[in-house]
Amino acid sequence: MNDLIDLLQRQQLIWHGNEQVSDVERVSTGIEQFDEYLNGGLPKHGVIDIQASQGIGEVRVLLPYLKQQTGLTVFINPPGCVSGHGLFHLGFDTALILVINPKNELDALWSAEQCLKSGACSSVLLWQDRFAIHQIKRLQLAAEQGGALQFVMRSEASSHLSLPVSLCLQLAAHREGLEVVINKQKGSWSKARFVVTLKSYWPELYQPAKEDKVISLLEHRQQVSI
Amino acid sequence: MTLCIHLHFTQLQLDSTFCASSEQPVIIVDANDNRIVQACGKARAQGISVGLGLGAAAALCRHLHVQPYDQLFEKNKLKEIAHSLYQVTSDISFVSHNSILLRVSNMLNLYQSLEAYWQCIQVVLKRLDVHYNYASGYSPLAAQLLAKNAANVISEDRHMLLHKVKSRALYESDLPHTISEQLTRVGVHTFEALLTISMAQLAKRFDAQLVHYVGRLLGQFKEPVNFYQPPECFSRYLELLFELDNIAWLSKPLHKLLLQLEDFLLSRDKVAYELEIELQQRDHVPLVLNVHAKAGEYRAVKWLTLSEFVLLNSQIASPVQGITLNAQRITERQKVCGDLFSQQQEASCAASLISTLQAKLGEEAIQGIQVYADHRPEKASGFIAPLHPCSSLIREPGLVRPTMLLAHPQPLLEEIQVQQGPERIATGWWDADPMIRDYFVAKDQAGRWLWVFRDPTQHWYIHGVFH
Repeated sequence: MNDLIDLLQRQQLIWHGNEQVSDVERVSTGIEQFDEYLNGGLPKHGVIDIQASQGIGEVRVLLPYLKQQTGLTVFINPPGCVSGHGLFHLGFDTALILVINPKNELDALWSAEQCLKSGACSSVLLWQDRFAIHQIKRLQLAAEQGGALQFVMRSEASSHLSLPVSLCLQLAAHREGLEVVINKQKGSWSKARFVVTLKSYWPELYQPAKEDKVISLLEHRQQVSI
Repeated sequence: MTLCIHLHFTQLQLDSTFCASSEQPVIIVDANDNRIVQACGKARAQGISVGLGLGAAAALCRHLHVQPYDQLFEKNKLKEIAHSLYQVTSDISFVSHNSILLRVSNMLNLYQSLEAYWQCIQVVLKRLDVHYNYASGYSPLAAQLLAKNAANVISEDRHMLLHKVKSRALYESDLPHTISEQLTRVGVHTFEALLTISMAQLAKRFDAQLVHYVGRLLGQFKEPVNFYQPPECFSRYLELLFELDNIAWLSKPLHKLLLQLEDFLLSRDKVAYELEIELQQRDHVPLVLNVHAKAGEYRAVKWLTLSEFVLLNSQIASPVQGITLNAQRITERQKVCGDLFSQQQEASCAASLISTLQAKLGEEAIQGIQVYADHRPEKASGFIAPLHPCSSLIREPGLVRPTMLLAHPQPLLEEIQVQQGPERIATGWWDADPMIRDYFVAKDQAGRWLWVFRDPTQHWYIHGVFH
């Protein structure tokens, strides 16, 4: 059996999935550990599906990447008022930030496509739960045309359908940062879940929790009596 | 002697009324004597000809669309044609409400030959989509005589042109009726016969008016001509033959106007930043729409997409009868030097993107961010017009601020775990909006990072989320 495989291999008749060289251009996320798990970083352009419940740090994990960009960063339909104050002190150029609040989902998709196509934007973040496959495909084409990266921010509950995206990440809250599962990555195999530590990137935020030394009087008495 | 070209526009009013989609034959009737002055191709196919009475025309064809003749309208249209022609030729003069005289001799230095010059003129006229007759001549009057009779000849050949003039009958010219009849009585029917009589003989036998006419025809008498110089602004009106009640259908006639704008801007190497589209509505005040292009634009296609977005967002009260297009803020075109090898060619202009978005979604839907020197979170940053330069405040990397704020602080109703704090913000006593708050970073049960505060009354609120 082994001889047979050797023979076939020598004649180059066997194709190994894991030998495949990925030709996807990647760009660093700005977080070394994250880059490693992602085999070099985020795709240079395309659509990235991020499934996470809101507020756990799903945008913060992207901030080091967004900060490097020289084009516009567009927030479409964000779940709150984008705080310029916070971004400014993190080192963002506020002239490069655009916030769009369209009236409905179709307008939001339209503006995302226009932004991606224009070539003036480097990343577009769109908060929307429901997508059709053809909509993602259109965004993908637009992103390639304009050399931009589209982040689709979805809540976990709504993510049943597998969308034709370049990268699909599922994020969950973790004590030290985020727990990440790569559901899908173009050009490589997905790995098991891993934890991205955000501690070193926001030491101000992740301060060591103070030891809880407060105990009830009853407990104290019990301790003393022992 | 100078060479002239006379252009006679035969159906100017018909050509400039928007009737591309009309199924009905259209005729234009002079209200004074009810005679047809212009008829479209469909009408002519039915046997209707210019000069026919309205009654006869109605008998020939039942479904006629009749429009009254408007000389003022034609005059304005002629002016617009002169504007377009001015791009390729300099000496333009209006002869009547529907004809133009071009002085060619001066332009031949630029165009080398008459053929090249005429080709340029034809290209311009073709874009305007008008019907016309033309002729060249060595005097304005000779050119006019030939053009009015549809000679359609362009030549520098003096003898040939003279021969053409001679072959015309006297009644075809615009000689006063009394004079032409006088001549006919003595057996002079054509110009050939008239021109064989010497000037001295003419002066002796006929009155000075005829001598003057012949002198002008042969170019022996100088004729004063006023040349027209168009002003440097763009304003065009297009009358719609049919009232349009669907705003989406306006893009076709609008495109016609935008193409003229493109010609106007391109030839001057300029761009417009704002267009004013005025829709004349039946029984209502005109609806004025403003379309902006942040980066300046001259291309009709781009203006059309922007205008379509604006049109779709607006409502018309009653059917539209006409469109006026005014270009506002016209300036020199700025050259943008882009990277030749970059993937993102020409379109890499943020300003044009923002114009597109604003045209479709409305101005207020697209916002930029600005930071202000204030400690109160609500006033520390705000929304402004996009692409505003970043403020020059000092950055404090150690400051803990959420990525997104809630529009209004919400009462804290769940159990949280305080991670960090307090950070007291007590300020604003000087502008009647004081604030005393202790801010904390907290985590809720679901793992969300919240920015919460406690006010002096010991009430807790959520103010932001560290998304």
